[in-house]
Amino acid sequence: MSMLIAAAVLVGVALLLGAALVWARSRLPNNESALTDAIDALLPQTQCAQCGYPGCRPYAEAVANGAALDLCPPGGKETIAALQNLLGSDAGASNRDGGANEASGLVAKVREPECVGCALCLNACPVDAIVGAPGFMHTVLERQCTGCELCLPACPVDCIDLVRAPIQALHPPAAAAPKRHRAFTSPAAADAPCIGCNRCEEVCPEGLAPQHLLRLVRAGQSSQAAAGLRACIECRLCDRACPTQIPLGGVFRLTKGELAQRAAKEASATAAKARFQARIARLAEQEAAAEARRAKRLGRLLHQPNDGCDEFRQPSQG
Amino acid sequence: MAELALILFGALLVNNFVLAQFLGLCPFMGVTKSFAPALAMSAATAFVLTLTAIACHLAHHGLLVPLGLEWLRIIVFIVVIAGVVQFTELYLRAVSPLAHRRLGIYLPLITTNCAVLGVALLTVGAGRSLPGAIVFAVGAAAGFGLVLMMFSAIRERLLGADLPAAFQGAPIALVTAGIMSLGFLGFAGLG
Repeated sequence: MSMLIAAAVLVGVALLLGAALVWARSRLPNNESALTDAIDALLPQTQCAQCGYPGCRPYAEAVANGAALDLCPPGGKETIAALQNLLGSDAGASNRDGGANEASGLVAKVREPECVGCALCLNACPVDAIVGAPGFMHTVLERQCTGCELCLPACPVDCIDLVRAPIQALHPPAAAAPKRHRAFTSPAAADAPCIGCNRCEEVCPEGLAPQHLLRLVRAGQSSQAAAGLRACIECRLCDRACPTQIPLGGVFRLTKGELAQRAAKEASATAAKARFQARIARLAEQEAAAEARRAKRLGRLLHQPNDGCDEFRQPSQG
Repeated sequence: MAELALILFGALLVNNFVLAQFLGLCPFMGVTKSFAPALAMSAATAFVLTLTAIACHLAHHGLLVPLGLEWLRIIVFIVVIAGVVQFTELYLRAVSPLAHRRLGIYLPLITTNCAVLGVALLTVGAGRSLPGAIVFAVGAAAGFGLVLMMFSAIRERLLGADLPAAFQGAPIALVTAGIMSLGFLGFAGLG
C-alpha cells in the first residue's frame, strides 16, 4: 500500500511541475533579437554576402540559430575568435579551415578611361560607395569601400581592380614603430622576461603599473590594458629604470598603435553598417513610391471616360 | 533574529558550500574562466537554490511527513530541482538569450549541482523552520556566488601572469582553489 502511495506522490509531483512548465513556456516572451544584435555587432559589416546570406544582419540571425561561425571571409580569424568567445567555444562547429582570406585592406578602384558609364556597379554596391550616373564615368569612394568584391562581377567591361587602400599608406603599419626605440636598449631586450622589481612603477609619473601592462600585452590581452595605455604619456622613464632593459615605452607605443587601428576599423565598420541600412531604407522608399505611382496611373486609367480603354473598365460602370 | 543571522553567516562563510564542504565544484571550475559568466551562473544558481529550498521544505513537511514517506525525499527533491532548473532555463532564455548561450551546458547541469540537493537535504535534516530554511538557502547561494566571483576574478588576473607552461590552465586553478579553501578555514572559529 505504501508503495502505491509513494508512486502516486511521485507521479503527482512530476505532473504538477510539468504543468507549471508548460504554463511558463506559453507566458514568457521570446526575445531572440538581443542575441542577434550582439552577433551582428561582431561582424565586419561589409555586407558582401560571401557567407551565402544577403548581408551581415541575416548572417547574424542564422548564427543565432546555429549556423557555422566561419563563413565570413572579410572577418577572418579575428571574427571567428570573437564569435566563439561570445557564444562559447563549442558553438557552431567548424566545417571549413577558417576564414578564407584575412581582412585584406583592399579597396575597389575604377580604371576610369575604360568605364562605359553603365551604372551596373552602382546597384551592386551594398554600402553605396560608388558614385556616378548612367552615361558618365563612375568612381569608388575609397574611404567607404569595404573591399567586398561584389562590384567586380557586375562590371561588363572588367574595369574595376582591387588595390591597396591609400588610406593605409597614410598610417604605416605599426610594426615599423619600435625600430627607432630599440636604440635605447640592446636588440634582445625586447623579449626579455620581466623580473618583477617594480622599479618602473616607482618612476612612472602617471602612477601606472607598467610591469602589469607589459604582462597583459605579452599575454595578448592588450584590450584589457587599454585604459592604462591611454593614460601612458610615453615619457619612457620606465625604459631607463628597467634593469633588464625591456623597452616598455616602445612596446606600449606599438600596442597603442594597434589598438588605435582596431578602433578605426570598428568605426569604419559602423559607418558601413549605417550606409547599408540607409541603402535598404532608400530602396524600400523608392519601391513604395513607384508602387504608389503605378496605383495612381491605374486609377486614372480606370476612372477617366473616353480614354480608349473601355475594355478594362468594370461592366457596372459602362 | 540572532539565530537567523547565525544561520546566514554559517552558510555564507563558516560552512561555505564550495570551499568548506566541497559541494558544487563542477561549476566552480567550469564557468569561472572569466567574470561575466561566473556572475550569471551565480545569479542562476542563487535563484534555483532559494526556490528549491522553499519547495523542498514545503514538499517534505506538507507531503512526505504526513504520509510517512520520508525515505522518498531524495527522489522527490531531485524531481523538484529538475523542474525548477527547467523553469530557470526558460526564464533566462526569454530575458537574456546571450547569457543563456554563454552558460550553455552548465545551466541544465545545475540540476546535478550537489550544492542544490545538499542545501535541500541539510535544511530538512536539521529540522529548520521555513524562515530558517529560506535564510540558510540565501546564505548558501550568496556564499556560492561570492566564491565563484572571487575565483573568476583571480583567474582573469592569472591570464596575464608569467606562469611556467606546466602550470597554465587547470593546474594553477586547482592550486588557487586549494589556497582559497585554506583561507576560508580561517572562518571556522566564528560559528
